[in-house]
Amino acid sequence: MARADPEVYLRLCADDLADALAREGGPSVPGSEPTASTIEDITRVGAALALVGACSERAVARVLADLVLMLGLRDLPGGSLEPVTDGGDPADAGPGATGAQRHPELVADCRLQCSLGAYDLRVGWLVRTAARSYLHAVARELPGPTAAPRRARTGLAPIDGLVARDDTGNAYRLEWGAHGVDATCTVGELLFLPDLPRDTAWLELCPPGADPVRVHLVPVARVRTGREDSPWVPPAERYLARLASRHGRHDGWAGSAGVPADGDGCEASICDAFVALGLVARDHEAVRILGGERLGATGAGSGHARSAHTPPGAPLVTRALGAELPLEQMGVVLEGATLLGRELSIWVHVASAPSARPRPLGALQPEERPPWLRAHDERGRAYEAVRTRWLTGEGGASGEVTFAPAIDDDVRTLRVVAETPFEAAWAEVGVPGR
Amino acid sequence: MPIAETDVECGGARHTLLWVGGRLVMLEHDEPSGERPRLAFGASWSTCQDLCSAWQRHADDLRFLTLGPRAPDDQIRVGPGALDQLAGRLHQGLSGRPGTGHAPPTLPGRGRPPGRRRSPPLLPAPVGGPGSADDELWQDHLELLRLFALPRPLLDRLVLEVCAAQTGALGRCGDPAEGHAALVAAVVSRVRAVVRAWSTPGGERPEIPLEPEVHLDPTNPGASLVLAGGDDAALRADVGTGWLAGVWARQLALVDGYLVTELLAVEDDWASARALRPPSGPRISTPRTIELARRSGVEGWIVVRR
Repeated sequence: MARADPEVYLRLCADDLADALAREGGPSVPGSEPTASTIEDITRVGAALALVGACSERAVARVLADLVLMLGLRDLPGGSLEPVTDGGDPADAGPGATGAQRHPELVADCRLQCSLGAYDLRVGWLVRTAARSYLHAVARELPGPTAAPRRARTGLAPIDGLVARDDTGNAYRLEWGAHGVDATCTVGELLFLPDLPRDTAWLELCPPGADPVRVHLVPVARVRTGREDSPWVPPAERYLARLASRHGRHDGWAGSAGVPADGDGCEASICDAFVALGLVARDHEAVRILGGERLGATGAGSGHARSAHTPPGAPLVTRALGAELPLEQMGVVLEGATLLGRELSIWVHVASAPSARPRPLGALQPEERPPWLRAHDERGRAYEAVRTRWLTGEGGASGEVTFAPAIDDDVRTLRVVAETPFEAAWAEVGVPGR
Repeated sequence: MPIAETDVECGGARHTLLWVGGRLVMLEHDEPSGERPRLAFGASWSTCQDLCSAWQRHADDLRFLTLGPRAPDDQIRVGPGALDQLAGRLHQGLSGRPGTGHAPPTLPGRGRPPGRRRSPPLLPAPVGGPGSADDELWQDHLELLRLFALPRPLLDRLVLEVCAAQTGALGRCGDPAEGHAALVAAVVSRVRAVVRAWSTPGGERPEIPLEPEVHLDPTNPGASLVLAGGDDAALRADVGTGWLAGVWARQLALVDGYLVTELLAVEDDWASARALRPPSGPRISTPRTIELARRSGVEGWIVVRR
C-alpha cells in the first residue's frame, strides 16, 4: 500500500533523505528503498511523476515544501524554516492567466537585415501577444574592435539606430527581452516599447542608411498541422523511453523539469519510482538502460557543434511559421524556423500556468516543460532535437530547437512532431529559403 | 503519559507550563477563557497564553506528524535565534503593525549547533498587511515553529495528541481527503523507522536486509503490528491505525531492543505487551509477552520481565 500512492512514495523518499542527512552520510539504511537520495533527485522524481500524470503538481509541491521545512527543523543542509507555498492549485490559476498574456496571437513575416555598428542584426518575424509585441532577432558580432561587440554579446546593448514607426506615425524603441547569448551572437526577442496598439495595421522598421522595411501585421500563410496518431504507449513508458533515448547525451535540455539531461544522476531514481509504483515493468528496456547499463554517448547529439555544418559566414535564412499545434494539454506555437548553412532550428513558444510549479527549492525554481520535438523529411529521414536554447519567462517560455543531422540541400519540407507523454501533434514546416 | 513541564519567559518572569492529563496548563495564569476579559482593559496577551492557545489550535495538526520526530533520536532543532529572526521579518514586513508585546519563548538548551549555516531565505517577508493572506501564513507558521521549539517531552506529548486525533480520523474517513497521503506516509515512515531500529541494534548493519513493506489498513483501528517474513520471504508489516497513537506515541514501540507489537495492558508506570525480541538471525520470531516499567526521572521504559 505504501508504494501504491505516488505522493506517499515521494514522502517516504523525503523521509529517507532526512534520515540519511541526519546520519551525515549518503543513503544510509541498508537495503532501504526508495533510492531518491538528494533533494534534486526528489524534485526530479516528483516532476516526472507529475509529468506522466501519476500525481498532481500541487501534491509534488506540497511534498517539497514539507521536505524543506522538515530539514529546516532538524538544521540539516537544504532545509529552511521559512514559510513556503505550494504554489496554489493549478485549477485555481486557470489555464495560464499569465501564460495567456504571452501566448502568440499573431506571427507576421518580417525580414530585415541591417548593420548596427558593431553587429549585424537579422530579424525573422514579428510576434504579438496579449501583453507585448516583439521581433525575433539574431545579432551577430562583426569582426573588429571589441568594446561594442561585448555589449552586444551581453544582450544588453540598446538597439540604437533602428527605429520603428506605426501606421499613425508613433515611434517605438526596441530593447532585448528574453534572449540567449552565444560566443558571437545574441538571439531572442526584441521588444517594442511601448507596446504596439492592438489596431496597428502595419509598421516600418527604419535601419540607418537603408530603406525602411514595411511589416504588415497579418498572419503568415497557414501551416498544415494535425495530431499524431501513434500507437498508444502509457505515459510513463513513453517518458522513460524518451529519457533513455537521450541517455549519454548533453543536448541542452538540462535544467528542464520535463526531461533531465544526462549527468543529473536522477534517471535511476526516476526508474525506481516508476517501477515501484507499477508505472512500468521492472524488465522494461528503458529501465535496463537507465537503471543499470550505462551507455556511451550516442551518435547524433554527442559533441554536436554548430560549426560542423555551418561554414563561416553562412547566411541565416528565416521563415515565419505561426503554427499552433493541436495539442490539448499544452499550448505550443512554432513561431518560426531558421536555417544556418544546413542546420535547421525551430523557435517554439510554450504556454503554461506558472503557479502550478513546485516552488520551494531556490535552485530548482519552476521550469517550463518543453515538449519533445523530432522531425522527418519528405524522404522519411528522421531528425532529433539535439540542442535547445530555452528562454523561460513568467507564464511561458520560448526556445530554439536545433535538429540533427544536418538537412540535405534537396529537402524542402520537414514534418516536425511535438509530443508530450500523453499526445503528439505535427506541423509541416517548409525549410527556410527553399 | 506522565506529567511534563517547561519554563518560559513571560512578561519578564519565568513561568511554568505543565502538561498533565492530556492538557497544557499555565501555572501562573488563569485559563485562557478566564484571562480574556482582562484583555478588554489593555492587558497584554502573555507568552504562556500564546503557547496554550497555539497548542489547542494545533492539537490535531497533521504537520506535527508530517514534519515531527520519527524516533526518539530524531533531533528537532529550532533555536530561539531562528524564531526571533523570522518574527523580526514578519514585523518588518507588516508596515504599521503593532507589536505583540513579547518575544518568542526562551527555551533552555535549544541553541543551534556551532558551525551550521542556514539556507538563504526562500520567500520575502509578508507585505500584505495585518489580516492578509501573507500575514496569516506567517502567523500560522511562526506558531507552528514555536510549538516545535518546545522541549522534547512536551513536543512528544503534542505529537501524541495529534496522533490520536489524526489516526482516529484516518479510520473514520471514507474518501481519502487532502492530507491522506501525508498521514499514511507519516504512519508508514514511523513504522519503518521502528523496524529498522529494531533490526539494527546499535546501528550496525543487519546480517540480512530487513526493510519491511509496510501495509497500513485505514479500516483497521487496531493498535497492533504484525511483522512477517524473513528468510527469503519479503518482510511485511501490517499495522492498524491505532498502533501509532497507542504504542509508538507512548514511546513504547521499541524498548530494550524489543519491538512492541501490541499493548495488552497499560497503567501509569507499568505495561504488559506482546513484543518481538531482538533479531538474532533471518527468521522472525513469535511475539512473546513482556512487562515494562517506566524509567524513573527520564522519558522511556525498560523491560522488567521477559
